[in-house]
Amino acid sequence: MGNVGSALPYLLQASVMTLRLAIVCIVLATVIGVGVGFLGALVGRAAEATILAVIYILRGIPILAQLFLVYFGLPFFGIFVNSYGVAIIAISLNMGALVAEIFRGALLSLPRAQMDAGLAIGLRPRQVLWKVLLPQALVAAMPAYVSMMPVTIKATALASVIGIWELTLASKEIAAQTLDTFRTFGYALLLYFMLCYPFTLIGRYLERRSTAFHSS
Amino acid sequence: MISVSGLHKSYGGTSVLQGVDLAVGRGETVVIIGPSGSGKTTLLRCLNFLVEYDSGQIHVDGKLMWFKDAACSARRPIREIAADRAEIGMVFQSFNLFPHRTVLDNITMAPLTVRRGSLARPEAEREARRLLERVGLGDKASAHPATLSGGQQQRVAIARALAMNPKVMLFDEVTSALDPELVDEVLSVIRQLAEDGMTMVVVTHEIPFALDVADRVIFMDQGAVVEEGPPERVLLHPETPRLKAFLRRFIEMNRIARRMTVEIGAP
Amino acid sequence: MNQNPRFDLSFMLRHVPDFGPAILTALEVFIAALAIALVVGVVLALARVTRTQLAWLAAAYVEIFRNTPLLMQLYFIFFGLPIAGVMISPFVSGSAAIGLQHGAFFAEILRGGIAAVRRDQREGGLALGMLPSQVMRQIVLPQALRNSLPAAGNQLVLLLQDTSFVSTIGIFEITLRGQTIAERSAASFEMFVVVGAIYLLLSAILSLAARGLEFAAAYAR
Repeated sequence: MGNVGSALPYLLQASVMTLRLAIVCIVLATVIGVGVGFLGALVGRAAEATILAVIYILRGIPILAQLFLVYFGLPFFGIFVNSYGVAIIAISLNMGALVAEIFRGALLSLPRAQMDAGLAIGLRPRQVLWKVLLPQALVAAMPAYVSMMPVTIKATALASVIGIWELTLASKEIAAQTLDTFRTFGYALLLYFMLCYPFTLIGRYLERRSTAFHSS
Repeated sequence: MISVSGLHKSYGGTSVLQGVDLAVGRGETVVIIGPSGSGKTTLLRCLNFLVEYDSGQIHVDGKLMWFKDAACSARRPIREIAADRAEIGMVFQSFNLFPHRTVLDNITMAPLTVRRGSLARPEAEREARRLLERVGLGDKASAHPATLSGGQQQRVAIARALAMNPKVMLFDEVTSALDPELVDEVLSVIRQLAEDGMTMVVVTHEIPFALDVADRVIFMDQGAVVEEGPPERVLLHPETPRLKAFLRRFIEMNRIARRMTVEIGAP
Repeated sequence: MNQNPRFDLSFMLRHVPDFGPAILTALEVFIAALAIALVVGVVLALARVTRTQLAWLAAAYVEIFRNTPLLMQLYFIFFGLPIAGVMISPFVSGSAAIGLQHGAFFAEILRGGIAAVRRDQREGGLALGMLPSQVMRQIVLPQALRNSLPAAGNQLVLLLQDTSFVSTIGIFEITLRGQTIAERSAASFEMFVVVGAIYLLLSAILSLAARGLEFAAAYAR
């Protein structure tokens, strides 16, 4: 039975890997999500319906199943990527749908009066969208957007299932060696907590500030 | 029946009650008027234990109303405080009926809960129906509050407060949230209660009502009692400039009403 | 190597019945986890309303479970607890992990529901001479539960999806069944399309049921 404490540096390295994976996914998810979320407002009814359908599918299937779907699906269509790519694509798509929901929701939550006010001062609908609505929607979406980040970090744990080396897999390796699953997984939980908690706190701070802003 | 002396209350840095003295005799109806922010609502809520006042004394029916035990200054058990509250009925500006229960349940909930051992449901319901008849809503027992008008809801609220057999009834601007047509039905219930001999403290903006029903009128401003006395004296012959200013606004609104009466005709 | 991908529809349809028992298993885990989550959620939410040491503990619980991945919690319970001497079956570990996690989420939802009940309602009850505990039980909680229904319905669907996690500790629910059939055949993609479709269908049914519950609650009593 080896010493769990000496494995901490190993776990820390794995945490960095988790973080890197998460950051890539967050960036991609943001790009996809903001684009799609706002796109829904610009395009016509039919396209909006398809977008909503895609979001529904992406959010209605568990991430684990989506992971396998992408894992087996890409080769099916002749696209070959390594496991790392599969994980990034699957997680980014899923989180992208979440981000799209967040931004769409933020946009729709703006009072109708904002559009009316913009039109009343002579702007065209598209200009009102860009200059008045989107900026406000971005601000309104901030708290929810920030709280998406710990969700992504937690999702990277699933990548271990298709063999990606990150914190969860690393902790399984150590646990198999030292046989002290209790302490190993305990440390891993602690590390995940330390990765996620700052984002949660920031999100909560933003939420408090935004309600103070709106309730006046 | 009620005696208040030297009542002080501050929220944060703002002083809301600055040494209020007040006495209400048994069976007396006292009406409190004053501008918003004068502390009238806070005073009422102190009487009911909903607000912990900072200093001063409140006695109701000889008993000292205070969060701490007079003898040992430990906090009184919540059971005792609740029991004291039950003897003081309060009707709020926003009715505060429980939307998830029927009118009958609203009235019987407190008696059944507080006196669970000694009161049976049929008896509680009978009493509740009697009270509903008394406020003129005997046929609404199984309705939900959302289906009633504001005036009807407020009358149910009065019946609900009466169900606990309070010694004193407190009314906190109970008609301020109502449409004008609905105000009279509520005021007539309150008038009836006064005639039946209930000890009442009424905070209101309805000056004609005060003139008609009150035994004494009290004018509060900025956390203290400024004038008090019989309604005819206080309302028709105000002495302090602040009271005169307050009543002047009321007269202003009425002048417009009188012009409208001349043009449109009296009701 | 698929140059012209041919979707093997017949294979897919032939194996759909194989998912029957898997769906049942998933639902069993779902119900067990849901029961745990609801109990935990209500207890935590009530604990946070009191202003005692308990409230702090409840808050800490919620923070821990919200900031760590479910997979990790699952491994900890299934692999870690036996070391400490506690022996549990995969089913219990899986349901417990999911239930404890979602209990934290339900607690937050219920807390929001309680906060959404107007302060006047509490005062109305207190003014009548009711004890704070009675006010909570008869006036605040019923309304808070009704307020929480939309968000809780959402959470229910997420809980259903999280049952997929127990596939990692060997319980034969939908995802694992899809995996095993996929391994034995060349139509892996088709299998997971089935898996996806099953989850979507179950989620849709669950959403409808939750919406129906909201409806019913609005008209009850």
